[in-house]
Amino acid sequence: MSDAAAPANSPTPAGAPAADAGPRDPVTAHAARLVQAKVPGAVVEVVETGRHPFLRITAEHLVAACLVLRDDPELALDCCHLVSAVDWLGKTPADGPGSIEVVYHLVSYAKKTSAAYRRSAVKNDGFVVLRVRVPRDKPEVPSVMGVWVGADWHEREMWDLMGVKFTDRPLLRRILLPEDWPGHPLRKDWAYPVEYHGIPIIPPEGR
Amino acid sequence: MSPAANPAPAAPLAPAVHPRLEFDPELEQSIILTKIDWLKDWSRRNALWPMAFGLACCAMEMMATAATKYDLDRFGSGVFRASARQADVMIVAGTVTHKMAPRVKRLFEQMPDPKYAIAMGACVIGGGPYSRFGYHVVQGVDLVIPVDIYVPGCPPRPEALIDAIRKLQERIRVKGGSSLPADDVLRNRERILAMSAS
Repeated sequence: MSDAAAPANSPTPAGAPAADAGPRDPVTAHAARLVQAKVPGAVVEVVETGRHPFLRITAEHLVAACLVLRDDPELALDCCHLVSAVDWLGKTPADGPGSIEVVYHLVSYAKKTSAAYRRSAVKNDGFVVLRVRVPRDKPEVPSVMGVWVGADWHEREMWDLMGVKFTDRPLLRRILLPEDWPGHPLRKDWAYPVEYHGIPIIPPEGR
Repeated sequence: MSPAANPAPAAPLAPAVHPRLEFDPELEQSIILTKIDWLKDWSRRNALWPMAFGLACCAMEMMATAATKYDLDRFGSGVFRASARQADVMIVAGTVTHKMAPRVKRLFEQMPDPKYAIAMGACVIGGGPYSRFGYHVVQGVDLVIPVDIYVPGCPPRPEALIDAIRKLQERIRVKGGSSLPADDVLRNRERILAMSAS
């Protein structure tokens, strides 16, 4: 990561790995065309080459784009494999608060287990990756639980560790840490408490 | 009658002779005379029942130690009790998280005196690989309960755990069977808090 972080609304975070030159990922390219046609304004950026192709989606169009991707017979992305998040902390005051990026890995079990996929010459990993950038001080993303129920625990985990607030869903509470844990510990500016329930914690500089 | 009027000749003191009790010779061979404390410590150290209690991967080694190849029962410690109220020694095997620490403390408090604790593995001794960057791991279970024996390793071999049991037996034999004082934990706590304040 470079020294300067980008403001929250710029498409690519500064210092993010540039897309390598390489073969285009046909699955991502198809998904990008589909979402651009069906949900205008949803796709901010498409990276089709390199090792980590992805679509960047705006937060307000996320659920509509996910429904399109799930219901398309060619893609049939029937599984929300993973919901994770990246903390792009602003390094200088000029950067503002920075942003948080929620990353969705979608995969099609129906396609991956089909004989046609196994015979096909292009063997990508079958994932479609969506990224959603939200400002760090107001990290609100609509929930995709209505599209894939399995996103439930992933979203609760991201709330627990990163403090991403998923809206329009029930029971957004901690899943791993104790209920009274202070803050969201995978945020880069999270401070260690002095003690927790009478058990002292060695400060990081003393370790 | 005064004593001076009738002085008795000073008789030489006869050595006190206790009459030898007559026992049945077979009974005499089956009695051992000893101190009750020695007997209590002897029975304690040869029947250190651990608690069936594992937190992470060190518990696998603990189970291997109790299984046939290493057979912890040879040293009197093979009877893993599922209740804290029947256990003598708590082998804390595995990472103690802040979420788990109150449970560890409560289980230790439920054990009857005298009770002992063995800190097994790097995580339990000082946080191990999670000590530097982990936010969720207690940096040493001796901040929660008083610890008698520390077993280093990640995880320790079964031989190391057997050695810890033998060391605990030796400690009970030499120093007696009483538990560690509970203020050990407070001392450790003050040491860490002083580090935070400076």
